Amino acid sequence: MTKMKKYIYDLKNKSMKNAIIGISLMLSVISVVMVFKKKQSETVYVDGGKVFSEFELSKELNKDLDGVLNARKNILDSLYQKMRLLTLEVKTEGAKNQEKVQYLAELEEEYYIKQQQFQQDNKAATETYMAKIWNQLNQYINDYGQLKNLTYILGANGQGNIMYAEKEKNITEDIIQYINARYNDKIKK
Amino acid sequence: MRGIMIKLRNSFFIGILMLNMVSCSERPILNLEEFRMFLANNKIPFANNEVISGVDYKVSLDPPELLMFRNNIQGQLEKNKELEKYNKSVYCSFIIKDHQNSSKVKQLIYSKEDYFKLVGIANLSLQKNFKLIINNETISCNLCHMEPPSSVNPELRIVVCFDYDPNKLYGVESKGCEIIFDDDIFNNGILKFAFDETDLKKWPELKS
Repeated sequence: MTKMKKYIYDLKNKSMKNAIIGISLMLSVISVVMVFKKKQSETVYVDGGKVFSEFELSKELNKDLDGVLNARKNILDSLYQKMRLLTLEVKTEGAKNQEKVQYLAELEEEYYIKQQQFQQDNKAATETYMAKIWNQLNQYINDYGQLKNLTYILGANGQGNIMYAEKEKNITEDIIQYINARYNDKIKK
Repeated sequence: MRGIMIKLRNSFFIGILMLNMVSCSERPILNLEEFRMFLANNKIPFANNEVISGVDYKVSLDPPELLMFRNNIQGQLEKNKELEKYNKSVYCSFIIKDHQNSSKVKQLIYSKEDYFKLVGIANLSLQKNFKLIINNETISCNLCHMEPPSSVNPELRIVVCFDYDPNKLYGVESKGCEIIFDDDIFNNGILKFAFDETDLKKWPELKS
């Protein structure tokens, strides 16, 4: 009977030992993982200008914006041309034709009103397009930071924000790839 | 003799595999009751979402059969009539709501000035902001309706419709699609929602 008891006691001791070893192993694995994770959370930087210009949405919207601005510029140019020709005519005729003089004055007025109106509209359109691009860009960069467990993503644009950084910390290409994939809905959420 | 037997056995297995592949590529055909059960037991897979600066956009494709069953149809005659109605276009619905602690949508709905601006956009330009892309072909939106938001649940619900045969979108022929929304409401730019062909191909057909 005592032998049996001793055997059970030994067995218990052994299993306790195994459990302690197992727990200590698990704890060491967890601590290694934690250290690794901590190492991963780091500070990186991107070339802000390059990210903005390589973002597909900004390329598409810039094309649209250029179209709108050029159409307005063409309207103004043709008005200016018309005005110039009429001015020459009036000059050569010596302001004898009162109708032409009157028409020239109307054209001048129209030109300046349109010029002012287009300037305001162009400014508003540019602001809207910029807001559209930055809203998406900020969201995607934010998501990228969370995904990669980064502490900071700094923007380097050559204007003094970052004067020097290691090349390995530059994630511009990586982030361009990510934001374009997100924009084209190529990443599973 | 033994070699012949092995060859026969191999060809038998290959035959079974081929049969399986053929049956997998076919669109399952269900009757009215089976379809009702299918809809009750399965989550509709055609949903996609995106969060941009605190605004959550959820887009779902609504197959004709789903819309038909939503109208609580009874009997074969009613079924045919309803299905014919929805079989002319591709329908999809947008739900735009606040993400987590953001209150952009809520503010838009509750502020009188912003709400009037929203109604203006919905009446004049919203329809032009939706596009459907299938096989590199761009299809414009032919119907766009924004439901008046309720004060209990501040979210925008927009039903959008495209002039394209839904039988080509759902079923074996499907090559997937992409819905594009240029958000002028919150100025969040162009949003693309891709729908994979694998799920679309599996959508069952209603037995006529």
